Amino acid sequence: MSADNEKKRLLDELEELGPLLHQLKADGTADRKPNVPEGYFEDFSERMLHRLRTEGLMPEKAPSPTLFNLFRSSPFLMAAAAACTLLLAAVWFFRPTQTEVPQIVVAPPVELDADETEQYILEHIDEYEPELLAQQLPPQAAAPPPNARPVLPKEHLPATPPITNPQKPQDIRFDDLSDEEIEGLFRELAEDDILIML
Amino acid sequence: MLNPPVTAKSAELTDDELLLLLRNERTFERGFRLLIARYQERLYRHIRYMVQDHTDADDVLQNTLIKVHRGIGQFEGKSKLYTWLYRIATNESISFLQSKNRRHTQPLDDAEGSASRQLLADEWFDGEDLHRRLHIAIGELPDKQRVVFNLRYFEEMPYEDMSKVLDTSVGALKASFHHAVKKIEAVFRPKE
Repeated sequence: MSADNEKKRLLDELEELGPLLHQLKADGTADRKPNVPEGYFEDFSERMLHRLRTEGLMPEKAPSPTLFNLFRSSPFLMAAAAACTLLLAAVWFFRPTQTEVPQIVVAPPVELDADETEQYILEHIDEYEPELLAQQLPPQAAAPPPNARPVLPKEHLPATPPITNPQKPQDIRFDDLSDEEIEGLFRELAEDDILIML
Repeated sequence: MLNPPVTAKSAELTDDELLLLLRNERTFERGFRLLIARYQERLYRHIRYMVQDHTDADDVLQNTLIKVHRGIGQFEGKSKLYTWLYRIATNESISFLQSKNRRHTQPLDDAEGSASRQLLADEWFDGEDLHRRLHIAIGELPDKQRVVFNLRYFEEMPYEDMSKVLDTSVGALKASFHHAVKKIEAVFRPKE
């Protein structure tokens, strides 16, 4: 049963039994608290517990282990704490003073002439994709004929036989010629005054 | 008034939870502090209305809590914690008054009269005239009747709970309260 209900029951009980007491209860006069010294209830529990300890009814409260006592009891812990403190201090001391955002520095474009460009490409040919190289070629060169050979740097060209001059006379092996070819050859040479027919 | 006064520390705990703290050696002190914080004002008021004087009330309250400290281990929880506390406080108050009366070796009527006179001199009661006269009239009641009146009128304790505190039947308590009310009303009634 709540306090309000019980108070109502009491007031009902007093209504006829004691009108004056009913009035004093209803208007709150009866519930005025007796005066107590200032702060009496604030420190009462401490005084009570002190009395219980004084009379041996409650054990003395064991001192709680303070941080200082803990370190004092163990030199190793004290040394470890000192090392940690120094480490933290060093980290704090050497911390970056401000946050620097790394910036990408772009070098100004270098003007290269065609020879330098070619030379550079030939020296670093392995670093290029064929498609990339193709994009750098002039339009007519970029579309080589279907049977065109890939562009290779000079030092990478295979050793090829020297190109024979079509005007230069070739060594002719008579063994490979037929009699008619040999006779025709002599006839041409004679006509060119290279060979005097006897 | 039946609900325990709300305090920051004890507001969340029920009496059963408080008892759990008091039954554990490690949490006993905390539980006892919470018990004091919760009940000190109610018990003090009940005792003060019995013994009238603040210094006496302070002594009786401390003796009450020492008894509580000693007996809490045997408290089985068959009754409410607060009725058990009031029972101890009431017995301590009556024992104190009887002891005081014996020391003064005065006849009973004179002893009750002295309680009223003490009230008048008690600097801690500074209420209005009507309030002061009410407590003077209460002080004139026999001890047992005064206990019944205080528990019912000031603490608004139900007769059923009071029966457990005083180990008396509900009917006898109602009769005692009615007698007390009539006596007090008679004090205020204009004399013919």
